[in-house]
Amino acid sequence: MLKFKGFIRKNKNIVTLFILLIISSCMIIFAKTDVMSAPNRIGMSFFAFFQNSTGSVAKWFSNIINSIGKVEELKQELKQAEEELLQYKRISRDIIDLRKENEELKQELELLQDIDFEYIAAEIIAWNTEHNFSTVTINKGQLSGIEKNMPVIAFQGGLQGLVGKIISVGLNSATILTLADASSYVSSRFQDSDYVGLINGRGVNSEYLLMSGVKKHAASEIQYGDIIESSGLGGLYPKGIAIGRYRKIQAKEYDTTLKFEIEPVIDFSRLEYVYILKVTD
Amino acid sequence: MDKGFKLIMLSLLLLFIALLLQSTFFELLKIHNVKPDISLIVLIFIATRKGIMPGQVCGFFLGLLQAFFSGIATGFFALTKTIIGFVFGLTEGTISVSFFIIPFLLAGAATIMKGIISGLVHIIFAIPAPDIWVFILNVCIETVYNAVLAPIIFLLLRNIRFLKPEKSEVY
Repeated sequence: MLKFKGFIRKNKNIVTLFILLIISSCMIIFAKTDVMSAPNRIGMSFFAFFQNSTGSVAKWFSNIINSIGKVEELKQELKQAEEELLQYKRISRDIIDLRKENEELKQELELLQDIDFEYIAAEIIAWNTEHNFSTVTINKGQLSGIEKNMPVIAFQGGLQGLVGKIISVGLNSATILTLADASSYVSSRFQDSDYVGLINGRGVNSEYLLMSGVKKHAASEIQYGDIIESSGLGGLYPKGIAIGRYRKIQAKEYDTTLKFEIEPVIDFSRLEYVYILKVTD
Repeated sequence: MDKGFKLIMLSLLLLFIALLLQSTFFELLKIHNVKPDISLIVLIFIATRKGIMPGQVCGFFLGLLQAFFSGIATGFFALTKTIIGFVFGLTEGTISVSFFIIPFLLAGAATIMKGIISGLVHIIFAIPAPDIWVFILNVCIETVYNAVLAPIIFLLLRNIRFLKPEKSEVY
């Protein structure tokens, strides 16, 4: 026993390193369990207060610097929105009739009602400190009704696009795993041709997402710029939310399926406000 | 209060401030979507000045703080930063951080080391990693960014009293 104590005293630094590495490794292994999620939530809730305060100051500086360019950008967006509004007014009359017809048909076929969502608006207060992961922290949490795995969307350039999902929730803050992250997977489909695939992030600095598992004969039907949206399969993300546009195909002769490079609809580096979807019905 | 404990507490406070600034203010100063790792620069300063024990302990708790800030990857950052704190703690008393070039080289080496260790941790623990070329590009940009900022940060940290070197310190 004395020898052991002597050994530890003599090699204090190495022993401490060994212990810390073991603890860190165990944390990684048990990261997704309840054992680790509880301290994570407590830590997040505590530090979110400081992130919120510092983030507000940073945003103030950012707004001053960006205000000049922002005015021009807003003018462009307003013009685009006005044109789209005129278009939507024209087709809104048809939608009312179609909706009525759809309801009647659904009742006849005894199909389930569409799922309704409540939109919880939140502001981004902090970004991930490392480039290995693509996450953002928002200023709403458990007290605002946010729960783990809720889908998150945003509006950019007049389009609604999928941002990711909630992976961690504190009292007044939550963390979103964006689609750009390498561990993010979304079941998706081409809007026009209905071909299904799986979209996976490629990292923070990658300009594209990767859609894989698409049938080979899709290559003849898909066109550059086609919109890819969430398929609703798996139940995590609702159906019909735009994810990106097809840009390039990756096809090797020996592959049984195709891979596509998808340009995301949402520029994750320019996110300011997001909307968390909460199922109400 | 024990001197060593006080040193670690004050160092952690400094690292916390660095991390806070990194996750908020430095988001505005990104280059090609990569921002500098200010907390890493502070950690290597603490390690080179104060030795192995403060280096590795501060590295471990810095990693935990990062996990709390980002809500993800508990243990991942702690593992990488503990190793970096230990390695740079070995240089205590051997390197003078007064010259411009030393912080530049230290920060560059630390960032490359962080990239290699992170990559290994991704592989060993089967954690999904970014595309390899994206990862390498991010590490390269971050290395240059950290190396350029390190002399300025070291200059600021040299004036902090509890971080001044003392040959007689025992932990």
